[in-house]
Amino acid sequence: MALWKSTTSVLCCIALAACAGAPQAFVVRGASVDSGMLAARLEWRPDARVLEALDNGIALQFDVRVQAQGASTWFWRPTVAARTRHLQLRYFPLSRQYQLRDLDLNQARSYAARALALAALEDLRLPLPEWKAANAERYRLEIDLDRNALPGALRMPALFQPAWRRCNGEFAWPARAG
Amino acid sequence: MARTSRLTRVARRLLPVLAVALLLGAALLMANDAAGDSRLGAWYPWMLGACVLALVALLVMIVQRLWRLRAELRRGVPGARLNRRVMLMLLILALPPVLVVYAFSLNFLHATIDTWFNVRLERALSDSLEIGRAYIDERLRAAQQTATASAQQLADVADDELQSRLDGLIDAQGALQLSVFGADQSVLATASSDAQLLAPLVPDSAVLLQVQGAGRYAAAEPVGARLLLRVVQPLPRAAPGAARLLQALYPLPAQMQTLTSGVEQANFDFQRLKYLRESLKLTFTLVLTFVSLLSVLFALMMAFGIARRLTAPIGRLATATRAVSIGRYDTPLPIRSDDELGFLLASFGQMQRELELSNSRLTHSAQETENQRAPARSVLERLSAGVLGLDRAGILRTSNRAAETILDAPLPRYQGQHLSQVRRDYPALAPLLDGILAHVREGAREWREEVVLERGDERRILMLRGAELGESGDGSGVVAVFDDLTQLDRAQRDAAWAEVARRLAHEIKNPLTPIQLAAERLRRRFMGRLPPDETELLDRATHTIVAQVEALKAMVNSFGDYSRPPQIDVRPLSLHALVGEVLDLYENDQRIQLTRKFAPGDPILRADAGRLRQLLHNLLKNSLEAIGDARKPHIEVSTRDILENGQDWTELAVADNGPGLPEGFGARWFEPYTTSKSKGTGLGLAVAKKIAEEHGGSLRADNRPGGGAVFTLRLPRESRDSGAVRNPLEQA
Repeated sequence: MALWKSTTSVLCCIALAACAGAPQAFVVRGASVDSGMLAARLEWRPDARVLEALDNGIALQFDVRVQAQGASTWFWRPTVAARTRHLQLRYFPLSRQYQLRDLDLNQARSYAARALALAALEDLRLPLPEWKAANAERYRLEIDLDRNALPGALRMPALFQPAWRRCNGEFAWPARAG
Repeated sequence: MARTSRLTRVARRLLPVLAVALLLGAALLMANDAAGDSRLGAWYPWMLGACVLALVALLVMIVQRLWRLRAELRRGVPGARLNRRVMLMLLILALPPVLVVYAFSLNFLHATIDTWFNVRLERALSDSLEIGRAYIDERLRAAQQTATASAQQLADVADDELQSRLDGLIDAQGALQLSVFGADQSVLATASSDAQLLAPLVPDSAVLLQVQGAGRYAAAEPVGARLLLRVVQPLPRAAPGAARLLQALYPLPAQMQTLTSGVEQANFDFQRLKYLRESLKLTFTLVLTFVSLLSVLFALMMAFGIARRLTAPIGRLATATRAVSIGRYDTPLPIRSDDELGFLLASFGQMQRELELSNSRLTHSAQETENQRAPARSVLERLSAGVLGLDRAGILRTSNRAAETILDAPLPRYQGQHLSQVRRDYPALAPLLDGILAHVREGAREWREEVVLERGDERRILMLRGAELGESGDGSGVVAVFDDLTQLDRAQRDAAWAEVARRLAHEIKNPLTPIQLAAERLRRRFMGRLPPDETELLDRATHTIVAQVEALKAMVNSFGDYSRPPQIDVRPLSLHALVGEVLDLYENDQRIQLTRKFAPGDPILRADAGRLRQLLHNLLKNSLEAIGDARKPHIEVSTRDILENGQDWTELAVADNGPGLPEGFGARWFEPYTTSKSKGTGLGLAVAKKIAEEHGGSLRADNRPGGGAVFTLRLPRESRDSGAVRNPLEQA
């Protein structure tokens, strides 16, 4: 029976891997870059499987990439400035605290409830050190779950399972508006 | 080109090994990574892609080899079927263990992972976590009391004095950090006893919300690697609109810090592992599946290679055997191993060389024998005597053309067959063949006898001589030589008859004239002198004597004609003119009806007109006498031209409506004194035949289909430009 289930799982994984283009669970409602500070309003509806992983001690690491892009020529738009920030969401069972940590600045905030931590993640305010984007015509924000930072046993399923594949989102807006 | 093919061959050999190594490495890395926390995640898609690529490469190579094997099987390439059989056997040996190991490993793996999660262990970890939480709650309550006391002391302190009061309190309360925030979240004063906590933690909205709602925020928070107790509460008696908040951070005791951290980490690891159980199973299943697939495909590849390596020498051996069977001994057999197969190939190569040598010797010997036999065969073919060569079993081994002609049988077709087969197909040859076979059976060394063959109306006399081949009498075979004595016999008989005729003519003809003269004298002397009755008797007696003497003279003349040596005056003449001249003599005879059917044209012969005329008279007279008085004679004379054996012939046929040829009419009827007629001399046909043969022709007799006989004279025809044609009348 176990053999049958395993074989079925393998086949399902391979079949799912063949299916590309899953709907995004991260939606960026709005964003701005002002005086080297990124402010973004996100909406994330994570799959129950992801939340279960969080509650079971799996640290979720997010990569937030901000790009300032120049005027496009033909099909090419040059990047004027780019920064990537790394955030980590983690649960501590002893203190029952959820912690959102800025891995680059080594700053952390603890939250007594998961909803508070998720709300903090959805209301991002991140400093962009040495940010110089005077000639930027538009900004582009990408956020996604770093599946490579997941535990080894979870990485291969994360390649195929939609719950993990959908943890990303992107948003672009003109520089003047920002 | 050779370099490219060598590279291709090397690539073909290395590619499977590289693919297998790649798969093994990838599987090992993934297995290690799944069990631990190494940072290979970024390579996972590449590793999976490489695995799939390697599997596809292996599959392609296997399919290619299968296709090639199928093509070889269809073409009937030597060794292909053996290759398939060996490959199937190897697969049967290799596949079941791999599949069994795969199934058992999978079950074992899943069972092992499940055993990691012991219920009692989980309970113990959960309880220890609860104990830790209880302890922290206890410590948190104490921290709240301490913070409340501090807040009481700071309640009426002005903002500018807060810093000095905090500096005094922090050591007294054992806090890591004490901070006072204004209503706008500004830091009014902060004191720290820990270098890592110099900057105060600013309460966020969630903390403030709880302070407003519950009057205090107290929680254990992970800060860095430590767990700190954080208490935030407003300072009492503060002026309205100027609320101030006191935030205090307290450490856990160092020992408890370590213990609680350990408890949390253990629980943390266990929960994470429990959550990852299914993922672990899935990952290990994938890895195991890859490895098993690798094993199966590699086993398949190895089976192909081993089968081909094993069967290649046998295939080459089969090819060489086929070549040897059709007489080719130059098939190369490279020996690449020193095992039994190598020994077999070496032995076969040696045998091939010896066979080639033997065959060469045999061919040379056969050629020499043939060279030696060629003159003998040439002589044999030109012999007028028939020759048959037989072995001791009676099998016909050789014969010459004369034997074929004399016996009128296609003897070469019977070579290699028993002589009795010839006898069965040609029963007329039985007297000869039975005699030969009898002598062969008896083992006679040498014999000689006369054999008479009778085939229809033809009679042949053969002189048969036989001898055993080989001087030592080793029984290698016998040779039978026979001469056709028929012509010789006939010539001897003709000569004898001629001698008889000559003597008859000499001995009988001489006294006939005196007898006739004496009879005529008696008649003249005594006629009329005797009484009438005696006169009548004398007349009748002398008349009879004279008539019989005339008859005897005619007969003696005929014998004279037959015995006369051939002295013919051969000249070109027109056959139709000569025949017409003879027939004109019979044209006015009312007793007979003559019909002429001459072929178109005018055949010219080289012949003696007088002898030919005599021949025609003999044939016509023979027909008239044969018809007798039974009916009105009807004689039809016809001619026709034929071409036979490259020679032009003219045939003259004299057909009658008589009773036909008598029973048993044969060659002897053309001999003298052979007649079926009461008054015949028996010399007419003999003379006619003799004249025909004098002219190089022949005479034969047949029965007509509608009744009667036909005598056919065949004479060689002369071409028109051979000379002036002479009128037979002039010749006569």
